[in-house]
Amino acid sequence: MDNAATPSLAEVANVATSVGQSIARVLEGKPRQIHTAVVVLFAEGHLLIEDVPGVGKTALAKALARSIDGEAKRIQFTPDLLPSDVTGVSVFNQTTREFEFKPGGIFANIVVGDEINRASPKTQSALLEAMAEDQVSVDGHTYPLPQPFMVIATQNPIEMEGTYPLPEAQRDRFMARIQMGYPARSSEVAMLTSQAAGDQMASISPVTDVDFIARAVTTVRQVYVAPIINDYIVTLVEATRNSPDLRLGASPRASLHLMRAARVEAALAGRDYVIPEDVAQLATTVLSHRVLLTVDAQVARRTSEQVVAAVVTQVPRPNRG
Amino acid sequence: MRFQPSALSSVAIALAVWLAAWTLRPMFIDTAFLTWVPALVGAAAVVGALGVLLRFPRAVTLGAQAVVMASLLLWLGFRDAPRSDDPDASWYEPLVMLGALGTKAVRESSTPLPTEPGLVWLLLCILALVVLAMETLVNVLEQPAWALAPLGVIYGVGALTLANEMEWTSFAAVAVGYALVLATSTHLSGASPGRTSHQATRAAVILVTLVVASVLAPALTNFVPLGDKQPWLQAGRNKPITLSDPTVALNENLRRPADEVVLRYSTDSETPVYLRTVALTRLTTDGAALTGMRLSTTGLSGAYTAPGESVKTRVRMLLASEYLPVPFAVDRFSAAGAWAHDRDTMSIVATGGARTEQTEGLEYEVSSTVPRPDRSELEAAAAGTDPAGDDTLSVPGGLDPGVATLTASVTAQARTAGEKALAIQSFLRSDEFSYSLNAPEEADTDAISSFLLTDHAGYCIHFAAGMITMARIEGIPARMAIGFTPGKRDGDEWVVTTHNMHSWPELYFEGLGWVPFEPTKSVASPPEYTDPDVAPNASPSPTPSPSATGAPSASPSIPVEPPEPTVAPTPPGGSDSSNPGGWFLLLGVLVLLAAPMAARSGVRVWRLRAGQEPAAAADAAWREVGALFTDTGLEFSDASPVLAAKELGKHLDPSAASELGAVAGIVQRARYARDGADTSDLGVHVRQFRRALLRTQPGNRQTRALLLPLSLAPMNIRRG
Repeated sequence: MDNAATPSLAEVANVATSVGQSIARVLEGKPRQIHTAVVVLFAEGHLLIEDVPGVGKTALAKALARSIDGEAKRIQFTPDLLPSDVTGVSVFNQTTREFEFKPGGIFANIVVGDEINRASPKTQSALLEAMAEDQVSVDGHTYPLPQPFMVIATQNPIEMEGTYPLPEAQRDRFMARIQMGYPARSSEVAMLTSQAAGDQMASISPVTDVDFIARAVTTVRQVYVAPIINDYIVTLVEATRNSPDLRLGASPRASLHLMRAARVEAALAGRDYVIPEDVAQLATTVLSHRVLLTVDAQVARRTSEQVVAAVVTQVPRPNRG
Repeated sequence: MRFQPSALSSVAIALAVWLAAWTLRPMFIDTAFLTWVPALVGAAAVVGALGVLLRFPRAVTLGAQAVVMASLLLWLGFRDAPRSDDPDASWYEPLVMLGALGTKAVRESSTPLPTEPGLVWLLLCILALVVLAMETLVNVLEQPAWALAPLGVIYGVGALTLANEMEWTSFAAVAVGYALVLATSTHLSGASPGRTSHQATRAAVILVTLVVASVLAPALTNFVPLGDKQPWLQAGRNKPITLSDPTVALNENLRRPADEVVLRYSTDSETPVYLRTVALTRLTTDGAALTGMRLSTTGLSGAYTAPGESVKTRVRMLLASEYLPVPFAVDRFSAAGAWAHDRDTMSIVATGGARTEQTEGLEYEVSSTVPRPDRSELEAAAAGTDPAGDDTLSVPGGLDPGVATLTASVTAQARTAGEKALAIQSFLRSDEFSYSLNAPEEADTDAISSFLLTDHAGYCIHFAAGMITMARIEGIPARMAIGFTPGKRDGDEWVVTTHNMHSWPELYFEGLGWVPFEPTKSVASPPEYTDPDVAPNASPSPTPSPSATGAPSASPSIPVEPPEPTVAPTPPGGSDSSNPGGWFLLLGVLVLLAAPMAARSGVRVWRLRAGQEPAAAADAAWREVGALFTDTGLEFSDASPVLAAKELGKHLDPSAASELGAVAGIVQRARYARDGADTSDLGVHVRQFRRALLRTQPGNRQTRALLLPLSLAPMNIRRG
């Protein structure tokens, strides 16, 4: 699929817009979250959606998969889910008298890991390792995952019962976290109206294909990040490490993710270079799930989003001459 | 890195101003005023240093400095001010009077200036303004480099008025002051750790610059025409110039058997000219004498305004003289060396180092307005009032009463002062009087009376003194001119010898000014305006006054007083320059007014200069755009250039918005894009944007942007 010509920035931006519009048909009033999902898709990242049940986490993931005509699989994480249920298992074929690999739920373009924090840590890590390496190793054999490959994991807020919270080391593997939030009243009414007419999900038809997405990723990689922007990214990440409200700041991987996401943001705006706004806009989404609040900040009922947003505001942008 | 004000910076500013004021000391006779300068600037320094140490806002510190210096100046002002007798006068009336006294002293004196209290007070006021201007530039606007401007004003005033008396030490003093300000006011004092190498480099550069400048300055003096040091500067400032007695030289020269050539001249006038060296206003029965001259180096061309014929004369002087022989009344002259003039008599006096030999071998050009009234004008003229005073009207005391009777009878037929003067001249030119270099052995009465009443014999001084006495009796101001008769023609030139030395009376008439007469018959024919018989173009027949029959046997009949007029020492100015105090005030006010505009333009030129790296050029251009918004009082945006331009453009005129968009596009690409952008036209675009912006803004915003560019204020200075 790399043989085909690399699409232009304008084409990428057009397709991304179409994908966004397509998702918006089933998810009323959440343009910000949809945008983030599209950015993560083109940035070859994985998305963590965190919120209470029933606000459309799964709907977003499924709509995204349908829009890009990709293979979507859904793994419902439960406490008794085994790692092999995720990665796949080798079974002995009586006919051929050979072990045969039965791929698990992870072999798809878009993998929806539902309620990921309800599974045991062992199973969680099986998924996360696959996410990091884009391949699965079973019984000494390595099986590459299809491209593009994107995990959209949903998790309930960690305070809820029956959850195994994702350790920070594993949250760090997700490029961005979004919170759905309850829809606005009008959006909820509109949602009811449209659902009454039938399942909207079924009406979503693909606006592109996985092949195009894979080629678009190449285009995005060519977006230029000036040294001054890299400097800004590092300054931002360093600022989270030095913030008095955080006991754990963001990792170097966070810097890398922020740069990749900013590149997509620039491409979607039709630019072949990144400006500080691209970085600043995504910083909260990309950084806030990786940091740990101090006890004082928790007692003061500040959220990590608020703290990271404050850090972004305080760090001077390289615009200032 | 934040700008760190330093406690030392105010001290350095005070020191710099004090050093600069020190360079002005040759402008004043008495330098005692310098003691008040450290007090004034020291107060500002203490307040400034305290303000930094106590972490007051800089504006508050500046205000406190202004208040402290103003209090000191008010106290000094009221202490020195003349008491006002008027009980209704407002409280500040004494200060106004003091200022007026100072201005008057500046206007009426030439350098070196007397240390009038008003003058010192004015100078201290200006120095206080300079301190405040420097504090504003260095500690409020954070532009220490611009502190050179106020310092330069002080040095410039000195350099303009003192010209070649400025010494290299003056330059070095101002340079050291400036270097101190730079060294203490920059980040050197409060820089963040880790920049010590930078500090060391900076300190080394300052040190090397100082050493090089100090070494070069004395070496340069050999190439810069600074002129000779003036003798009175070394001998003590109050020592007067002693002028030799012109009449003694006259007597000596007329009696000298050998007739030496004094000078050669050519003139564009059809009538040959009398070259005058000096005019004597004091007349006693014992002779004529100089009075104290008020020498000035400035304002020659406007000093005497009576009508006359414009005459240009080119003179080659062979002998030494401390007076410059010029046709009366001189407007301009170009002669090498140091000269000053006496406004009352329009005499030109050498003031240079070897002043008595200053004319030896000198060639110079003179433009003069030579009085040539019509006879009718002269006949109708009334006696004028000598603007210099009544000296030229005083009849010598102890004169024989017969002189007054004689004068009355001579002028009996005359109706006007002009006719009286003509009658007196005719009387003295009559055959009753004879020319003789031999003075009478003994006079029964005084020399003038005996010449007029009994002897009827004498030479030019006698004739001139006689006519002056009689004119004064008739109420016509009169004085004695000393100089040369026109001499002999030699081709295109006229040759003047020692025997052409002469004296003649000048009488002052209403509307005509000083008019020369010629009562000595045997020396020259009368001026054409006094003698209808002389054809206008007929050249006079000048003859050497003395008959070279031998040495005189007796001393001159009219002994002259040993004149030692005191003349205020005057630094040389050559020809015209202007009033020092006026320069001082005008420059100060102009610089204060124009400083923000100039600073702003300088910053703009610096930002938009060519030859910068594209990224640096883009940053500087965008800073300039931001500064333009600040100057016009508009909000600027911190967003990336293109986004910012879109947002800001909504509130601008379309022409300005499109220029802004062009600038923003280039800046953004230069900063962030892979292949950068061509920033060579960026300056043009920014300037076009500036024009479009200013054009479409209301007038008050335009004025504000020009005269009060707020982008220079520290809170608006953007740092990256």
